[in-house]
Amino acid sequence: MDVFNEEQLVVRCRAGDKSAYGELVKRHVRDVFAVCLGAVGNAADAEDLAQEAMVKGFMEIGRLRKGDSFGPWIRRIARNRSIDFLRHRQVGRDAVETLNRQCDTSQPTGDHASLEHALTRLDEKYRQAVLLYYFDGERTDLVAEKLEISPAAVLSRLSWARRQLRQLLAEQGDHDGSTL
Amino acid sequence: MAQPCNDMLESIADLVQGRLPAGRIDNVRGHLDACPACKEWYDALLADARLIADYVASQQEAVLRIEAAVIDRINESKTHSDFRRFTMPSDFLKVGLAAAVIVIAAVIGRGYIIQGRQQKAPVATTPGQTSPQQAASEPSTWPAPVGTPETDQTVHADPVALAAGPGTAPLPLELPKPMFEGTPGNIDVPNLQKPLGRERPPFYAPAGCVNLAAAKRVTSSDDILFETELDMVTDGDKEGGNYIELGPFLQHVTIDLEQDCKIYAVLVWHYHKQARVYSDVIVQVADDPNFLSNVRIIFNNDLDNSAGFGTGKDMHYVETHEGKLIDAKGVTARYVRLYSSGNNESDLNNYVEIEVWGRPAKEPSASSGEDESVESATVPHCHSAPVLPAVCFTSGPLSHAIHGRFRFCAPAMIASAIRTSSAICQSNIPTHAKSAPLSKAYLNPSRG
Repeated sequence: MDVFNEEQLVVRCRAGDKSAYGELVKRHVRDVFAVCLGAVGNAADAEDLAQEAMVKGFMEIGRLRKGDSFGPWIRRIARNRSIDFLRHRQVGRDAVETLNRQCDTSQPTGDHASLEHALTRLDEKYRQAVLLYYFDGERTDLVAEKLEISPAAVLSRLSWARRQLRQLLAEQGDHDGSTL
Repeated sequence: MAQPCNDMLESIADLVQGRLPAGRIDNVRGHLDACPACKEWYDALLADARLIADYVASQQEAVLRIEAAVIDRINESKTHSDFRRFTMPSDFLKVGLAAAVIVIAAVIGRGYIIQGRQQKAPVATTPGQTSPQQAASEPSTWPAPVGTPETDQTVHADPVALAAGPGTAPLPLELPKPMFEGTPGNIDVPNLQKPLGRERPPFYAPAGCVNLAAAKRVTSSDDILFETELDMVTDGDKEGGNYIELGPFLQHVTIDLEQDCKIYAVLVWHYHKQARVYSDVIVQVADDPNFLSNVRIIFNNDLDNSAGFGTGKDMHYVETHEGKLIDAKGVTARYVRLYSSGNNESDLNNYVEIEVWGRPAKEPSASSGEDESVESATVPHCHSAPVLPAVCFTSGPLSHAIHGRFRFCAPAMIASAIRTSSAICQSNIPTHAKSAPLSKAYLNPSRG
């Protein structure tokens, strides 16, 4: 496929070119997943939500008013989907899911599980910053663009997030009787 | 792990993050060499960084799975619009369902009309009739003064306990379940209204007021929200979990009442799952969708004029399940717009539900018989001339045809049928096809 800018891809997608949307998916799926992961805090749910969000983006692309704003738009969809998910998740269902996860060998274990648990306890804005930072190859400028804050603010959030995460992980280590 | 020095925590994190000023790096490294606890903390932060990077790298497979799944799903469809069709019955089924609805509506409607002829027609109140509170407080100023964008006038209204009187009735408000109880904690917001400490007293308005906003079209300043999501604002569901979220800073939603209406109250629930105070809540009404002419402000608590609509004098308030009831004093307008600019918890703007209570400015002529009843219900917005229902549903919205022709028929049955057909036809209902205002109230039978 020729290299198109985002606006052109959106136009082509609206005209029925599915490969154009495929290209948009490739460009943004990582961010969308990071947003979902940052919102809900666990990879299994984030994977489902990211998929839903990207499909919804395809369904609704005719409503996107500015073709060049696909990135913020699809990230916003992802976040709204994640919020909906958290909103509708019931306590009873949570308990069942938690038990299922504990029995599910595909779920992260060991250090990753501890990290994921600590991430869920981190304030969302710090969690988003941390995840986007690593998903974006540790480029604060990209994170700043996506979070619509200054690069300095990103660094500040990351720094604070590191401190918080360290404390959370240490607490978990104490609680589990183990250390990382 | 020994406790690191509190005054070094930020510097160590900054060092790991690479945001420590160059002039301080040596100083901090020197401290790390001298303090085992801080060195251990520093090493742990570095380990965390590797762990997070490793965790994110391990998610690459998930990213690839999502990508493949999404591409598979879109390839299964013909175009992006096909996804909408997946959730809709075939045209044949739609027409069949539509026909069934019409037959049921006709049968029920005829029975209702006949029954209606045996009863005395309800006494219609005069559209301009004032409520007791109007007469008692400021009869000379009602309806609210009319302004222009340059000379907008703010009506500072705070609903108070009202007296009943001839031709008035309390608004039949239905409140959602309380989502939180007790007195909110410390909310550091200036000019904050104290809780009433009891239920809000009834709000009296001319009898016959309905929720004019029920199922009306909502637009917003936030491009991200879809029309289907915005429908939540007027769908009658006021439970705290069902809300829309608009982006940060000043945002608005606008409701098109579809005709000029006399508005007596606006009731809004931004978010009532926790005690929140929204900033710069401004409620405007206007005659045009762009709010360029005859704009009037009926509520404004923007104390510093940050929104640019003038300094408001209304108080900040804590959101509860009762919503915020704003006295509109019978102002006549077609469009209602609500602004806000974040809240004390976040920069975002939320709406659970908005109700606009009043009556059409031009009441339909009272019908005295079956023929008149049907005649007066010709489809007013769908087509310029009366049309058969069958024509309407082939051209789009069945619901509108039903609304128009049977608006004096059994409301609950019609509402149920309309909800069904509206849901089916949701994606292809053009704007003009929204139902007639009176019958819209029947979408929520409890309000009719």
